[in-house]
Amino acid sequence: MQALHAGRIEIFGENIAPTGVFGLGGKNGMAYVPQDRHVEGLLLTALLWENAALGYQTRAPFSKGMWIDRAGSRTRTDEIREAFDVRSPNAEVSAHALSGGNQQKLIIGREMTSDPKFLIAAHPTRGIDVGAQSDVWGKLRDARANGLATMLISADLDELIGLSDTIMVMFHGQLVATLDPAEVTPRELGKYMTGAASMSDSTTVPTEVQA
Amino acid sequence: MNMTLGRRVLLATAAPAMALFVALLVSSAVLIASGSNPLEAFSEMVKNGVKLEVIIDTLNRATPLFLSGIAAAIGFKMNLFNIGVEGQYQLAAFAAAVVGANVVLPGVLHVGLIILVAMVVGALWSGLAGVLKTERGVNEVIGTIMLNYVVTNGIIAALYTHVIDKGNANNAGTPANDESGWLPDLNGVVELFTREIQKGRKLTGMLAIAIVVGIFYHLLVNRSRIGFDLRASGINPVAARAGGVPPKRMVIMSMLIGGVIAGLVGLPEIVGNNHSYDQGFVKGLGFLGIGVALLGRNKPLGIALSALLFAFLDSSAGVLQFSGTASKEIVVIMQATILFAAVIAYEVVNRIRLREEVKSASLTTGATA
Repeated sequence: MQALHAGRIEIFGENIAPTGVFGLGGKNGMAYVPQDRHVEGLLLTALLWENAALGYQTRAPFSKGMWIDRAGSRTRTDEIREAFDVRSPNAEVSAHALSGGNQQKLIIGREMTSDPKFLIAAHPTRGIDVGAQSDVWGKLRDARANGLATMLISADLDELIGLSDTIMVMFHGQLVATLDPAEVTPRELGKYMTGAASMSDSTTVPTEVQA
Repeated sequence: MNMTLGRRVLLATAAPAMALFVALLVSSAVLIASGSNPLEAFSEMVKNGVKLEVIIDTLNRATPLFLSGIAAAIGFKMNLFNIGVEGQYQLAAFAAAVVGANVVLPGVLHVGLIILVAMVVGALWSGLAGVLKTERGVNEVIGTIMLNYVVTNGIIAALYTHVIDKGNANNAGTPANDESGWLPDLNGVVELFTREIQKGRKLTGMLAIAIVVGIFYHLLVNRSRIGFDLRASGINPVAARAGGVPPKRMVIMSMLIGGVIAGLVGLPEIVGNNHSYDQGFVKGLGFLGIGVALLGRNKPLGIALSALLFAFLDSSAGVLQFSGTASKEIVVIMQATILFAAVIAYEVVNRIRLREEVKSASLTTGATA
């Protein structure tokens, strides 16, 4: 993630650029599934409920005023574990103890249960087993069906074609194609991704992306 | 295969118990090598340690060690190796002594002002190291070490001659505070339960403040949102930042809070024993506090127990020498081996716990709690 130098980021008409994507704590309705869960997503030596609270620690049920609400956090964590099939004995084990897939399901659960308006999911199934992958895809489909605006960033072509409504391809910082997943083939998509082809009508990055 | 409460308690206490055991073995070996009888030495220490006056000595020694341990632990919780408590408490005590000697205020206000000055000065000096880190990228270890020297060899050395009481040539120090600047001792409280305390021993009133600090630390670190942010930032600053925790603010905040508590470390001298800062002012508490925090695993109760253990060993040094059973340096060897053994034992126990957690997590087939 880089600092914003210019432009606006609007979510439902509200400019969130001043506070940035980081440091939102979910406050602006922005949810984020980072591409590297160990680097950006988890506190590995902290407990599951603490990880479930991360980013949302300023609001209920994770806190009350200036205090952490441990009971509320645990209850919410158990709900996430149940709904997102995070296989773990309880909310009191450290995130370290979980498999990659279960860690990822915990993050997705955390980001999707706090009523987001906009979800950025970066490589959400990278490095996880097939079962967890299909769970994550199912959750992203559900979210889309429920009207959650989702930006899926991925290098997995089947994932992109299978989940997206619209696919936009970027190459060297430029938007090179806007494609319909119902028509595009992985081979064609690959051409745009590697810069072998580009659409002449969309060579500039839009300065405003609106959800 | 959930971990039972008993197993958790066992794992939590196994490491310090192992460390203590290893320390006893090593110091026995040292005692035998130096021609002393270890059993005699240990029994002498225990016999001496249960005397009321020695218990008071131990508590008086443990109080600043505990405060120093807590001050260091706040940094450690954030992965900040703040070794500046040494300089922070000395400067704070010096400033508090000077201010205390030069103001006239009624009772509670006078003591209160002295304590407040110490906390503010400690926080400012600690905060300086924090600002150096966040604004100039100076590693906090280097920054705090340097600032320690600036205090002891710089500021205090430079100001000392200007503030000392010229009449007292023997042990030149700041003028003694008026009685309104003294914190009452706790002898009365202890004597409710036991006999009268003799030999002029006074249980420092700072013990009460230390207990309050311990409770404050527990609530701050384990229960408050600030504490959550501090711990998150310490475990993984990048993930914490993604979770809305600004890392720079957390560095400054933990240095400030640590400094406030560091400011209290030297106060038993200023509001209790000497009522002044003189050449005999107690040094080295800041560095000992690092060991105390390490042994206590940054937990308030653990820090209290390790401060008591270190203080007990310190107060045993004298009797070993007087009774001729062993040389007094043996207690320093014990403190060192306890620390070494504890660090190793904690790592071993940590790995066992992690392995058990991984095993129990992988055996879970569903998320039903």
